[in-house]
Amino acid sequence: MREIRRRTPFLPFVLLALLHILLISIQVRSPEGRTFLHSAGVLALTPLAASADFVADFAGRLFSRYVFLLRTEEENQRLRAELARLKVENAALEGMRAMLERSRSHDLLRLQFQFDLLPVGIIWKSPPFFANRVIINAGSLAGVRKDAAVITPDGAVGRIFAITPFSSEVELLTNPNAAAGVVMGDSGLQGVAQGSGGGLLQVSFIPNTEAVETGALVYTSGADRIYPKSIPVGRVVRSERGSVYREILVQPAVDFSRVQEVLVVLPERQ
Amino acid sequence: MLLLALAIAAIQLLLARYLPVALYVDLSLVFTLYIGWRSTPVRGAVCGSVLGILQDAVYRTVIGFNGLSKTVLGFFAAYLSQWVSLEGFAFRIAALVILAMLDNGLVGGLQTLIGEPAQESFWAQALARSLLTGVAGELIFRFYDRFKMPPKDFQRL
Repeated sequence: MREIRRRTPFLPFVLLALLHILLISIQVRSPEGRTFLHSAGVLALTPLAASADFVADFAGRLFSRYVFLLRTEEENQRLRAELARLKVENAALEGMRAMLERSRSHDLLRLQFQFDLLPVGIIWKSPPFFANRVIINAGSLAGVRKDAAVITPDGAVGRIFAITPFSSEVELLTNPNAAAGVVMGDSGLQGVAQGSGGGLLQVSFIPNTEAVETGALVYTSGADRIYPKSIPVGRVVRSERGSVYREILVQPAVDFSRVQEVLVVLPERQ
Repeated sequence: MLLLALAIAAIQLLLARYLPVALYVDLSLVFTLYIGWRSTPVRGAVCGSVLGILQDAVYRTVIGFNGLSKTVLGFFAAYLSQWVSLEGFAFRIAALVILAMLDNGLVGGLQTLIGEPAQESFWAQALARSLLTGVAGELIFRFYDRFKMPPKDFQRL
């Protein structure tokens, strides 16, 4: 029996299975426009990536909580101070929201600012030079939907590109195919921020006649109906006159190489 | 095997035209398992692949759905048969029902993966198909045993 088991060839089976997957992939695209092969690849990668992420996270927390105890008290003090600051800001914002709710533009503002957030972890990142995408550990079963915005407290991260029941692929803002409607924080000028494949974003459709200073903050405008309004996008690092529009480069507000946890914007709460 | 595959495809086409309810019996799966259990895992996989693709063509679904599920089941059913004897009447029916449920689950899972979630009555229909396939499959097995295939020859693929 053992001799028979050793001689069972798995390679023909694997090749046949791959052939069928390719056959299906050629014919079928999901409603999101992704091929079956792409979705199957994400689904196959998810358990491996989640396991590796769990081991790395566990080892990291083991070291930070039990080996490097000296920094714990310092970190606690910093976090307490930040929490106190945020509580004060939150109280002020709650007051402003209550005031705005009484105004005539309540419905419009409600649509723009009321949404639920789902905290998720990043379990896999593509190499920055390859695809500028990450995989998060939440999928359709958790309520994630196609084109949902992904943000952090620091700023906009990207949008949901592909979904499986247990995980989702996020297209980062730095991806060449990514774009977001943006507004300049100081002047209110509206444009479109696009990924360049590198670490910076390009903002287009700002006329040469308008002044955009280096260091200006850029926020989401909400015009694309994907990203909520007023989410930080980044800061202008270069602004020069172009042929028709200004050539503006923006340093993203989020450090994509270090971010580990993100928030998925869920459909508007009732 | 090619003649068998064409014969099964022809039968399924006729049934689809004149007696659609008989399509509840998954003939492709029955013959995949029959050949796999009396042959080698690779032959079971190849047979499942061919019969599954023909079934997809008859059922007008995505080519490859049933091909992939029958390939997997044909291979692993034949592989497991090296450890477990499959000659008992009740045991064979139970095995056919379980494998038919797995087949339906695989195809349903593939459909969900491409963004076409299963209908609400999917599992009820799958159970009905599996039970019918189990019973009909055992009868077909007994009929075919009259023309028994040679014992397993593991030197040939």
